[in-house]
Amino acid sequence: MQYGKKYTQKLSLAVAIHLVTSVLATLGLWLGLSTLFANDTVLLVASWAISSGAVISLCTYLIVKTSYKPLHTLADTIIYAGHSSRGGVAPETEKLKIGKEMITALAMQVYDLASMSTQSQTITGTSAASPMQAVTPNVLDRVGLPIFGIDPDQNLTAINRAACEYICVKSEDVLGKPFYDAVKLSFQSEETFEIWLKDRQANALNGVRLWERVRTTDAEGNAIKQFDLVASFSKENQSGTETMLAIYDRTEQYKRDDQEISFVALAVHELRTPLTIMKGYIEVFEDEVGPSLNPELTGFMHKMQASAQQLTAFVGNILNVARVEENQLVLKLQENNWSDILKTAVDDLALRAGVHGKQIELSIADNLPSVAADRISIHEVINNLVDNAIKYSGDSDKIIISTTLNSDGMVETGVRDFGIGIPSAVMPDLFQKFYRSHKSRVQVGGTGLGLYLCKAVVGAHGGNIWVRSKEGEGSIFSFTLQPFDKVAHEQAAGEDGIMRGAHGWIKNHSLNRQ
Amino acid sequence: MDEHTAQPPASKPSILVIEDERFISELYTRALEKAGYLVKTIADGEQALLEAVNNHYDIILLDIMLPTMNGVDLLYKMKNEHVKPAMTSKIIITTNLDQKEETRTKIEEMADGYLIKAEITPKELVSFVNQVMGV
Repeated sequence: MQYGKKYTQKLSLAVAIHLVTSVLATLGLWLGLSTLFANDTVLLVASWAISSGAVISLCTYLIVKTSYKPLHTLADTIIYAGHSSRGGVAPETEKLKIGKEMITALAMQVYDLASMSTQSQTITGTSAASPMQAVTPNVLDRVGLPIFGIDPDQNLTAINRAACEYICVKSEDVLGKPFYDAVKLSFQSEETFEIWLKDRQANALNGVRLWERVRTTDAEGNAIKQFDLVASFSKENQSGTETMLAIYDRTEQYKRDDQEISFVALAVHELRTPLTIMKGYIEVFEDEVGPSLNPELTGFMHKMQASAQQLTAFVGNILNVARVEENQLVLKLQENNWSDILKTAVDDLALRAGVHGKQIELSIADNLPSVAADRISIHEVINNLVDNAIKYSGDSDKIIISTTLNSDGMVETGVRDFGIGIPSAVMPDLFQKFYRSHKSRVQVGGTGLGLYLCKAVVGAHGGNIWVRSKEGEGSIFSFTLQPFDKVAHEQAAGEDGIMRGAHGWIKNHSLNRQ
Repeated sequence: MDEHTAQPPASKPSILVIEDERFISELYTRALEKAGYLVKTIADGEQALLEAVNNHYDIILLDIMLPTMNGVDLLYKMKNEHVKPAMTSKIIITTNLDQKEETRTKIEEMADGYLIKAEITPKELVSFVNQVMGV
């Protein structure tokens, strides 16, 4: 009803505007012509009658065209919906200037009716004689994929048999109830289904989106099922169902991916004890025999030490990647003096750089604010970037770490080497997890893993990480951190830091559920 | 079981190292003794509990993976059950085990420090212990 009223108002306004325009135009013509043909009344009247006639015809045509356009669109819609093959393009109701809401609503209803009658014909063999409501769920039940329908208030309006089995519920227990209570989804992307839907509802008439690696979880946050999810939204659908969701189960496949990294982590974990012991005894030797060794043997000692450190870092990386995967890497951001952290990190790395003949230069701007950082994790980021710089700096002996306050007010740190650079073909894959892109693992060695972790850690800090590189000239890996005062308000009273998950799963229903 | 008792003057701060990996306890004992601590090592969970309850130690280094009783249970018992009056020893967890975040948070709440053995050398352990002792 509202739509009809709005349509009448808009149309009346358009007609009024056209009428006023035509009256003004004829008056204008009379004035103009009367000066032109002041001496010849016959010519004046004749020419005015002809030109006014033309103006009035034009306005009439425009009025008819304006009022007919919605009807035309609707007619197209019906014809389009009537074609069983559904070839061609659906008429675009959004482009209408007058009657958009009304025609959109009518078009939705036409599509609904059309699809229901098609379904009832296919299933029951009769035309629309049987009640449509009863038929539609039947059709959905024949679909092997779990399918849900929800209304504008996110209550479940439809659930097919596959969906009931998938989430282990009876349809009568969940129909009409809030969707988020029936299905608890966790997402990897920032834009969860709920956020997306709210945006669609506010800003669009329709939309489709796919999420990969969505999961339902138990109370402990362990994945029960993992799947890809497709949501299709169309506003103001008269059937009451505004959004349809379909699930494509991939639990087994995603579990295999997870197991792959879990297995690697398990195996690597066994390296920790022997590493602890090796490092311990090397330290004893360095302390007690070191001072009496000749330079060559001291060099050997340092190489042993540096290699043990490198292996420790590698083990740490793998275990952290496994933690990121399992949503177990939680960072505590605290107010930290960035130049202190950098200096400590560079001290730790000096030995490793030294045994490879590299020197680390550190340049710190003096206007840096304190940063919000998890000391241990961000230390690992610097470690990884410098390790890469050592590995890929070729014959050059210099690595430069510089840090400044950039124009966005972020603390930006770059690790620069002057080595072989990175082929542009592998640049997009650099921050990917190694076991996802076996090809890039071959091309760029082990870097993928460390950089993937760096990205997750820097991301959890609210910063960005990126690379610029030229083959043969070297690379600069840069990342940003937030000044602490920008995030200080996130710190809860009585807490000594801000907790952040690195690349964690985001619960769909965490936003505004009580 | 690995036992290693030193006999310096009683005024030295005492440390109980609960660790079943022989080489690691040897390294830690050596480094801590050089730094002036009195060190006893025990490799078995239940024995360690008895020792910790019956004798005072300033600091206890506690591994998680142990025979007969794991370190988490041991920590819980030392902190909550067996000890009256409450134990005053500072407890530092030394482990290579990867904990789930919640478990780790729980452990950290009960203990006075948490170290990943693979990420520290004996000397770094000593400086951490010194810190906890307030040296």
